[in-house]
Amino acid sequence: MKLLEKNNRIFFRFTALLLVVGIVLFYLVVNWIIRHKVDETLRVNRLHAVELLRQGKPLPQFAPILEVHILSDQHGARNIYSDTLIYDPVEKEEEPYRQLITHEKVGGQWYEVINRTSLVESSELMLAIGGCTLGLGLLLFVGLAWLNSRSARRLWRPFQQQLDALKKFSLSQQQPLHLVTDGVSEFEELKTALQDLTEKVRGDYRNLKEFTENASHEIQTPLSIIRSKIESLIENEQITDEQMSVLDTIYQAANRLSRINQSLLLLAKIENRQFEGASPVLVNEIIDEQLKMLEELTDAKNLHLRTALSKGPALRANRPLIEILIKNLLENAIRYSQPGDTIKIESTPGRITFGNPGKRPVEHPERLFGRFQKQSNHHSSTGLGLAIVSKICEVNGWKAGYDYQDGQHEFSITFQQ
Amino acid sequence: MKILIVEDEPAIREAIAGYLHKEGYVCEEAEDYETADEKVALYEYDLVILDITLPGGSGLEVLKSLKKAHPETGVLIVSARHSLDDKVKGLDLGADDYITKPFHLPELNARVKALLRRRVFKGKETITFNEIEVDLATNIINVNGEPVELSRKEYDLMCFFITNKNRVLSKAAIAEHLWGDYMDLADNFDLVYSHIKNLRKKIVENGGSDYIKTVYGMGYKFTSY
Repeated sequence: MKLLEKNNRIFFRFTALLLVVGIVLFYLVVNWIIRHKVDETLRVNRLHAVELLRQGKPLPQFAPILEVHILSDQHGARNIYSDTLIYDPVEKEEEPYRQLITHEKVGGQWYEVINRTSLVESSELMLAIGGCTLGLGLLLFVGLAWLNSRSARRLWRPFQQQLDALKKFSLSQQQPLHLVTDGVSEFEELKTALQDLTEKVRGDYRNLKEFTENASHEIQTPLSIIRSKIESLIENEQITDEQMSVLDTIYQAANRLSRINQSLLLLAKIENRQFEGASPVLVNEIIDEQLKMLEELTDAKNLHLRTALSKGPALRANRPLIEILIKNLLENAIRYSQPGDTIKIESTPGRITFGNPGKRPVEHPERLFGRFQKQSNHHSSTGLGLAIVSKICEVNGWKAGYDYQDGQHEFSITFQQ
Repeated sequence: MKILIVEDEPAIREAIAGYLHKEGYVCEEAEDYETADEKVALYEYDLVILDITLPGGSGLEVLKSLKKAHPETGVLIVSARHSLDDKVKGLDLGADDYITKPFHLPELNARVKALLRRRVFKGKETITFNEIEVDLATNIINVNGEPVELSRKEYDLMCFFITNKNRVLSKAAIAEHLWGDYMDLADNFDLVYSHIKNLRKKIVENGGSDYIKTVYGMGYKFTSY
């Protein structure tokens, strides 16, 4: 539930409750006042009627407003107020009356004096007053609700804007997080806190990236020294076969380390967006080029290629990056296929797919595009090829995917979202 | 032939100088921008091996002053891998070739020789090793005057061996020379081995001697000894 909705709901409930209680109270009070007034009138009228009786004047019989009966037997003096319904022959219906029945002894004779007042008028009054109150209450209710939701929406607008900005925030973006507020101190505080936080995170991220790049860079030189020194050393005629074999192991390890290091450097460079400069690139063209370069290698492993390159993607991108992308995907397909397998390459305007046969799906497909996630122990693999693929896709807004269907590992790049 | 090696890392500089010295070149060294700038202004070299990232300034600046003072000097740029900018700028400024770090010394040697051939002999050269003759203009290899039919890779392999004769070539260096970025895969399939086997066979079948010696555990050596 939205905060605004929740707030409104509380507000509505409370106002409705207040309105109901208010109307009931108002009704009771007005009713009481009217009753009081009616009873007062009845009391005064009785006094007049009794006074007339005392003076021995004939009493007007005006039913049902005033009735005087002579009581035959002894009664105590009494004044009883009550509500009653009396049939009105004119209106042909029962109508509510308030009556005061008085037993009074005048000149040794007991009389019963009944004063009545029609309640029709007062109930109409009640109705009118009640209606007005209800109308006013409803108006107030609706008006307040409207004002409330409107102002709340306006009050929360900076929050919404900050939220939108946060959602779009990415660690690798070049600009700091930009937030707008309207001077409300809570939102100002939120803005400051968010900007401080994101700046700190961005700084840490930058440092980490710089560290990766610097570290890879620094490792490069000692590695080159090791390699070139071994290359010089193996020229020495005095080296025995055994020593040569040790040297070869060192040399291979140094080469491997160097390859891993270069891949890490490449990753850092892609991440730091050092591959600027986009030009129109036809992906099919690059696939063809790379396949030509690989022909010999696929032949050597006795791999078959099945290509379905229809109208492939036409992109505006950094060409060397696309070359690396295709190369790594092809390399992956070749590395993980068995002699005699068929590698499938398909392209449509929005998507390219590389498939190679496999007995079962990879165990953790979600880790496939991570760094150093090798599915098997291929010693020549750096474990970074697919991480580079994924990084290239990330900086370009493409999507790298893995699927396992009909005994095929399928790696795809979706260019159009 | 006089070569200037501009490289800030002493160990690498010495390794390059040592390797090229054995090939019969006279090598001079410069470790930073200032020394390099001074040397290219004062002396004349046949070739300058130039690292782009130098302490004190950019190798590209050295290249500019070099091209002003001695436009005839050949330049081989050494740049970091994947820094396309340096490569393009360097070639624009008149560099002849580039090689990316880290490189194998035999690869550097091959580039240096190819560059010097193009510069000094204007590309009209044949390399001869006993009965084997490589015609660089037509990409044909003759054994005892008779052309041998070789695949492109076998031809490249032969050139690589001849330019690095009497030197041990590691399998990795050969794989990188022949397959570039795909060398990891090539390494896996023993492709180097099968290519060398085929090359040997073709040379021997055409009456040549087998000069390719296996260096136990490490690689191969092209030598008549």
